[in-house]
Amino acid sequence: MIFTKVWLNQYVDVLNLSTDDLCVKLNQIGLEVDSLNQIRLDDNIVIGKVISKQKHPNANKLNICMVDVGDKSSEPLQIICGAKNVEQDIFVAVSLIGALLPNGLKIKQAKLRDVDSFGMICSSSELGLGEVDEGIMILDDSVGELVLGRALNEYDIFNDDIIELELTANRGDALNVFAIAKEVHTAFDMPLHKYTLNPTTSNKSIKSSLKIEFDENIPYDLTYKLVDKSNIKLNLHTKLLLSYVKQYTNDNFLNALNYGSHCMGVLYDCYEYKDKLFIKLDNDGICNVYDENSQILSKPLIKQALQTTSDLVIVEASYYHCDDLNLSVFNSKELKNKDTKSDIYFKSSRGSNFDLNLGMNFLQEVLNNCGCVVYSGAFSNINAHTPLKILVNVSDIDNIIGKDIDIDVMIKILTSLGFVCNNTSATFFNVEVPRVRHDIKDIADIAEEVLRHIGLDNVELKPLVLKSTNQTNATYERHLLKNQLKNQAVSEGFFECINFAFGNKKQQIKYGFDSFDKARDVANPISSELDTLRSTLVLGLLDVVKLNKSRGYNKIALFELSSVFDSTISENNGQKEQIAFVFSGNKEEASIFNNNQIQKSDFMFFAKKIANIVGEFSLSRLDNINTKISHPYINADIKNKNKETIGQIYKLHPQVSNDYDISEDTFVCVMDIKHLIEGKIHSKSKEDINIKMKDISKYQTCIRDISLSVDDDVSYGTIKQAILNLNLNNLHDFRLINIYKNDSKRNESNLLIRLELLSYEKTLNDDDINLVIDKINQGLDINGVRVNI
Amino acid sequence: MDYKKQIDNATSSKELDSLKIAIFGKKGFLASEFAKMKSVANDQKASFAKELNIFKQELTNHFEQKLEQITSKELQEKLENEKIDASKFDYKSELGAIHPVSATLNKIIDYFARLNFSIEEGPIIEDEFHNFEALNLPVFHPARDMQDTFYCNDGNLLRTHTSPAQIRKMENSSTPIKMIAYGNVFRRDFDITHTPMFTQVEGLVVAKKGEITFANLKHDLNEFLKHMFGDVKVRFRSSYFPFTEPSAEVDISCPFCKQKGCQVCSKTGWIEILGSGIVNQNVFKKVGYEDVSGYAFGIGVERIAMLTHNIKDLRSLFENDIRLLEQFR
Repeated sequence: MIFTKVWLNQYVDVLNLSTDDLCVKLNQIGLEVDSLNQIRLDDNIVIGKVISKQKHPNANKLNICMVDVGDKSSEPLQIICGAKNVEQDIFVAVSLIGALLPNGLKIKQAKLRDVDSFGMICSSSELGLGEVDEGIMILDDSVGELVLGRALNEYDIFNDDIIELELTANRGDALNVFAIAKEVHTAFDMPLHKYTLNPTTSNKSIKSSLKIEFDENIPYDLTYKLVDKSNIKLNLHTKLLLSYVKQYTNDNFLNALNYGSHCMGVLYDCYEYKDKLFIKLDNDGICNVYDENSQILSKPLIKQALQTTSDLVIVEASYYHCDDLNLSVFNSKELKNKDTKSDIYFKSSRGSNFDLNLGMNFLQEVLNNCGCVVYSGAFSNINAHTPLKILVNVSDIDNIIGKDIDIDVMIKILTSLGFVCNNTSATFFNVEVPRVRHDIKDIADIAEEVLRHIGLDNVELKPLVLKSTNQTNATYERHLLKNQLKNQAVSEGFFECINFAFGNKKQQIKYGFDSFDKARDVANPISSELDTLRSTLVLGLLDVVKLNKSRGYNKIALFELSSVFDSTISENNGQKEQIAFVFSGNKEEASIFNNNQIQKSDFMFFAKKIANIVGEFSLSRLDNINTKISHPYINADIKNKNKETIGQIYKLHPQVSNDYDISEDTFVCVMDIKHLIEGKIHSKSKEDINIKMKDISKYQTCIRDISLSVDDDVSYGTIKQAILNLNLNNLHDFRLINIYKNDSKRNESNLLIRLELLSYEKTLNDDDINLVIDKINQGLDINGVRVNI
Repeated sequence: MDYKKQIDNATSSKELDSLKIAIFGKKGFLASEFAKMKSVANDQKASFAKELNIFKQELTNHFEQKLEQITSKELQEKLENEKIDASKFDYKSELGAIHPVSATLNKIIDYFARLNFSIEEGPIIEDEFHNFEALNLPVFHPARDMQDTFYCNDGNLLRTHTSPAQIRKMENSSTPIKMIAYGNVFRRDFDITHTPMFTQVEGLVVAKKGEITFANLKHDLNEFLKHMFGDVKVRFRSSYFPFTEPSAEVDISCPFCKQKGCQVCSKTGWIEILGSGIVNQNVFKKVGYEDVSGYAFGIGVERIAMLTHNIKDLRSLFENDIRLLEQFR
């Protein structure tokens, strides 16, 4: 919604207000000022009169004009002008030598094809006023009394402030200048100028020239009038106002309709003269205009007719109740998804002015002033309307706002805004809602009107005092546990990433990830690359690795903790949370700590980092290897203490690192969040989940290493499990500490295992220790494994 | 005395060690001197022993003195040799970092958790009822247009705000309610100031009719914004949201230019920061609540992160460029 101060001043005296104050107030009352554009002209742009015009001797298109700029002490100015519409005796805007135009041009004395020119006759666009005439701007007294030599900026219209509001969706009623005037009148407590309507009644009657038939039960209001526009002429003042609010067109009749509509908010359309029109509802309940041959002349909601070629024009004013219209459009197959809808549709759907009688009378006066003849009489289809009345309990409003407000203050504000208030007692009053305020439906809406105008700033802050029980819940605990996990990842050098939750279906399939059935793909994706919900965090992270590698990083450690969608889960539409880690490139950056000896990252290094983050786990051969993304031989299932699989870890397939143009040493780990945190949530678990301390021995731990010769096809996991299964007394712990190739036997390695031996009863002696080793020696009955004594 | 001289001439603890053996050892000089006792006449034994003991004491003192001197000198040398240039500790952090959007979200959640708000999440894929209808957005509301909402082929949609979590909470609990819901939300918009996914936190407080007022909302948001932005002015502007009535948009005074006017605030001195209002009774009706009052507000987390960390381009938050992320270590 754009308006200007001069336009608004027709209804309320805002020219005396500072524009800053006006804007601040508009913002406060919920009419958000989006932009302010001020028309400001140089003092050296003045009114002149062309007293003679003769052809330029050396240029066909130029004229030499003598222009009187009111300076009695000197001759008229000689100015060369190239505009087609320059004529003797017209009043024009003259930029004198020294004048600075809004586009930065400074006027200097000039020679045009050997003839001197002492200034410039300006067009409206050269003055930054928009283009209102082809050629130069011809002044008329609609802008004020034309005094030669007077600076244009002494006239209000050339000194106007243009304010654009960003209206909220509920305030369709405020899409016209009069409605803004009502708000300003209330906010500043200034008088509102009532417009008086004195349209000239023509002796020509519409009934003798035109017949309009309406279908029965048309739920919309329509009024038609007939206008002879053969002598139409629009004054400069009106043209400039329309130009300022970006509604000026080359068609003066449409300009007159736009002007009328922008003043009062009634919507118009116009048709070429026909002696018969039929207004019918189509199957969707939308009303269209037909001629006597049942040809559709207009579908007002899709494309307005706006026909002005004939001298006689039928003008239509229409009102569609916004809620009814929106519902009809929603139910209409034709209109629902149609991209092009008309201006009438957009304004009606937000709530236009219902008062077609006022609208037609107002327009008639505008048209009369433009030299048009409006035939007497009209064809109308007006539906009955019951006004909305609300009984207001003053304390209800006080309770919503949190401030005691005097009943008289409430009534004054509401009355000022056009509500009809009926004071029944000291605590109650009746309100009749003005019909233009489609947005007012209940007591809360009334409270908002009061709140807006007493000023939100005038409501004192009051702390909320509310008794409530402890609100800590599983979601909050989960949040904290996830943060703990994230912080661990950060201390291991991983950066948290946030990617969009969308995926690229083609890529997901290419790399062997689960892909949704079509039902869960995005029906209206924003781009073909984001056409589904992601089923993996990995591809997004690989994109990030790629970006950072291209920016010069050779060690890249990333993680993301977020939702993915799994088609095998029906609960929660397949949404589950995962954490994914990617490490790519070198173990470290070169530094003084590694003396510039940089090593490539490897699987064990990566797995250790992950364990430092999520806690101890064991790795075992992957059950289901996705060889489209994973290296076929460097991969593992991650198992927790209870041997449940909680995630996967692998080296990226070299083909994939090649596709992404990233280091071949790229490692990936993915885990379901529920496996990592669900067992730690106190408020959820019925069992005691606290860690219970075991007794610690008073005696010393003994260390002993044993060496095993192992065939290469025997997994260490098997050996480890076999030792564990022996359940050896005094064997506190053990771990693999070295692997070396047996030179003499090609398919065999020696594994060095460190045993930690500990008793709760005594300090172990050599015999005790040897007993344990003997038991391992005897008990470890695996083909291809020998204990070296 | 020869040995005394030798002790004097010793230059290292090693030399002293061998001297110690030579003098004080079992087969050393003193032992051999004491052995001479056997051949000393009985009447002279006492004086011989006395002299010898005095001599031994002298020699021992002399040795100890020298030992201490040498040890101290040697320790000094050892320490000097170990001298380092600590300024060579040229460490560049090897830590990762929490994403600034997560960090900002955590800050917001922490604040409300301390005020005993319950923390809630909801599903990303939502139905029309929870995302729109229950929030007083009727079927024909323009916000439900295909332009703004992502739909799945099965007719579900990606939540356009975290408000459906509020509806779910109200469906499953009784008043009073004090909650925030957080998470990713989706709108079909992608330009300089919009990304198709962003992070939201919404708050909802519900209690008996008349217990919760606009003045409470003003107070609580005022405190929250001061917590996030420090000493800023807070301004409430009347606005419109389908699910609240009265509604207000909340601005803070521009923290960058202190209201002198800059690019960030478009020279207005104010920055729009969140939307809020008194919960529309139609919303309560949808979940079967009667005679209650409440307030609600919604915060865009990325926007707060951008303002608090001086991040100019929204889209840079989703690029995950390490050069941006590593600044948040």
